[in-house]
Amino acid sequence: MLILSLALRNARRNTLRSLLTGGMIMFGVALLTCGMAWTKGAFGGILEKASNVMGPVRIVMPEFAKKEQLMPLEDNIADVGPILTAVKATPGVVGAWARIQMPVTLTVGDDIGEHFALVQGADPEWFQRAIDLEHHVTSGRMFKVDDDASGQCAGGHHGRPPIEAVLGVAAAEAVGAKLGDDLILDGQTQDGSISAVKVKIVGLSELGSSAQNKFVYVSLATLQCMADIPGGATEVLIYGKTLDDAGDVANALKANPAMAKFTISPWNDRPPFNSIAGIIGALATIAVGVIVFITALGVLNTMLMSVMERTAEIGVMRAMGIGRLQTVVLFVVEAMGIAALGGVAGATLGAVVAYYGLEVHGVNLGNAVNKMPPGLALDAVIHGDWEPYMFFQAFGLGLVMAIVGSALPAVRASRIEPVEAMRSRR
Amino acid sequence: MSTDPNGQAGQTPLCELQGVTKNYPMGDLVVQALRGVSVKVYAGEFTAFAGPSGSGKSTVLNCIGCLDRPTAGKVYVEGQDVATLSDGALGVVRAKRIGFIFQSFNLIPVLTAFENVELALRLSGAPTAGQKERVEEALRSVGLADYMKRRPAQLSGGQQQRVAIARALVKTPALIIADEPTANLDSKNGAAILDLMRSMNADNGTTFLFSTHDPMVMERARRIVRLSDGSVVGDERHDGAVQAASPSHVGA
Repeated sequence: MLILSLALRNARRNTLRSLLTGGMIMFGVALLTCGMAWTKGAFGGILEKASNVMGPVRIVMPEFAKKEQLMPLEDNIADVGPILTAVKATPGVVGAWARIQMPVTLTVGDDIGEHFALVQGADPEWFQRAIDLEHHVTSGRMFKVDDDASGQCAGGHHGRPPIEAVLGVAAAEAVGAKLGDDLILDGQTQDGSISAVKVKIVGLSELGSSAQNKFVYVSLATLQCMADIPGGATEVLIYGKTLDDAGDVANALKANPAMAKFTISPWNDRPPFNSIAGIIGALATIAVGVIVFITALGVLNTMLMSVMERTAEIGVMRAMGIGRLQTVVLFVVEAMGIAALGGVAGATLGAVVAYYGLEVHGVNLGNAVNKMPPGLALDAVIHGDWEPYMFFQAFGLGLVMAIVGSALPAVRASRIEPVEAMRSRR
Repeated sequence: MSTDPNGQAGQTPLCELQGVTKNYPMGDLVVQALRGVSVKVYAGEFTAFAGPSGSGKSTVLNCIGCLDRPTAGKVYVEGQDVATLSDGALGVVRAKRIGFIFQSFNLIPVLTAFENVELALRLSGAPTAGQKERVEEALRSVGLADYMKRRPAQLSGGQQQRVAIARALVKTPALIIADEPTANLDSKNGAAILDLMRSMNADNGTTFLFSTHDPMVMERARRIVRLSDGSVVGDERHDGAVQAASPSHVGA
């Protein structure tokens, strides 16, 4: 205990130097806290939003999975009704919706459209769940579904109400469409025949990224009709209670023999998530490593000076019989004592900045979000997510900085020969 | 043959150097600090190793005190050849059997007088029970009963050296090595410190070995071993009787 007490008292010997060391650790720990909160908030948010759009668990035909970038309509699930019923009965599933997504050209008026867009067809409930579309309709309203699905292709004719659609503001600007206009979607059926549908623009939507603002949103029935997939869909998107449940839900579905002919995958097994998670993990590890290394270098510098100044004193203690290991402990504990104070200060400072600066206020990325892939739906303002465990994690890393930084000086101190005590004549 | 003016026939020396040589490399050169020094020290001695700077007196004490190893020759402490011991074993010998008093006092500045003495006792492996009493007794014996809670910076030079003496004494070592203990003290304090050590030697039989060129120390020493250029050139008793060192020990 006396050795530990001595170590902690040594930490107070050179106040300025200890403050400098503690300050470096404080800065490093605060930076780590903010980094952790930012990573969790920004990347966690991206993953959550994107996986919501792409489905935490997804059922498709195997051929669709192989070439999904081409959005092959011919590789569809012909009859989704029984599939949805079976999926909803699976433990852990809280919601499941069918979806069709396909490329189209947009036409307003008599000219054949030159503007490409993606059209998504699904139940309004899914749009609500995945992108909260209703609240992002900035003018007009959310589309309504004609209960008579058989008439979706013929909306607006023979006394039927028109087919309704919500159009992203960027797409509307590109084709010169406005609220209330008729818009012709030129696409194709599952067998490759040309297919066109006229819709009425009942709402204009503005989401976080410009990619999403080029989308057209319609009912599933509209695209079933347009693609000639009556009662079918290209994808079934399944939701558990949380994203973390996706693996369990996928496994439960795979255990159902009726699902054997489908490809069932949780979000993190599909591109781009399967590579993004690894990249995020690697980047975070590198960032933590760099911060710990740089801070440890600062600790090493000041502790080395400390050892050099105390050569005679260490020699005296070695002469009195203190062992090499005890000498190492003496200096490592001294550094840890300083790190404990710096760590608490840094974790507190980091928590304040991370919570009020990153989580509450957020960081506006501006146009940078528009460079993200369409599937990765991002808001321009990214918010951090500070959690209490980060305080302790960053504090622990502060102690690691101290141990790493003081290891070399401590070993150097332990190699001081006792005879140095005799040479210390002032 | 070694220098042995006391001639305590039949008694085993407390420590003994046999033909000790110590070389220090300095760049391309090798400096010979000791050149075949042989000397015996018996329990209860109050001996000064004297000589000018560079004569080798501190090196002799370093070897006896297990702080340094000889390049050649043997060093016995309580009959054990310490030159062959490992670093760890040497540390144990130092912690348990040898006390040190340094020219610059070398107290730990962040510890109180009590704690400085206590640290030495703890490192010696003494039983925990009774440690407090032993520390207090050691400080009382050097006249610092009222200064136990003071830190070195709150003590005068003389008082600091007294703490250092208490630190060396508290573990009841076989011998105490004092490296120019009065060099940083004024004459009054220096004399007081020497008298204190002399009385401990007389009363308790504690063996003291000094390195010094201070006449005040040599006046009080009961034996003076003189060194020059790494060799013993004289070994005299307190009454001034000089026994010349054998030729083999006088220089190389």
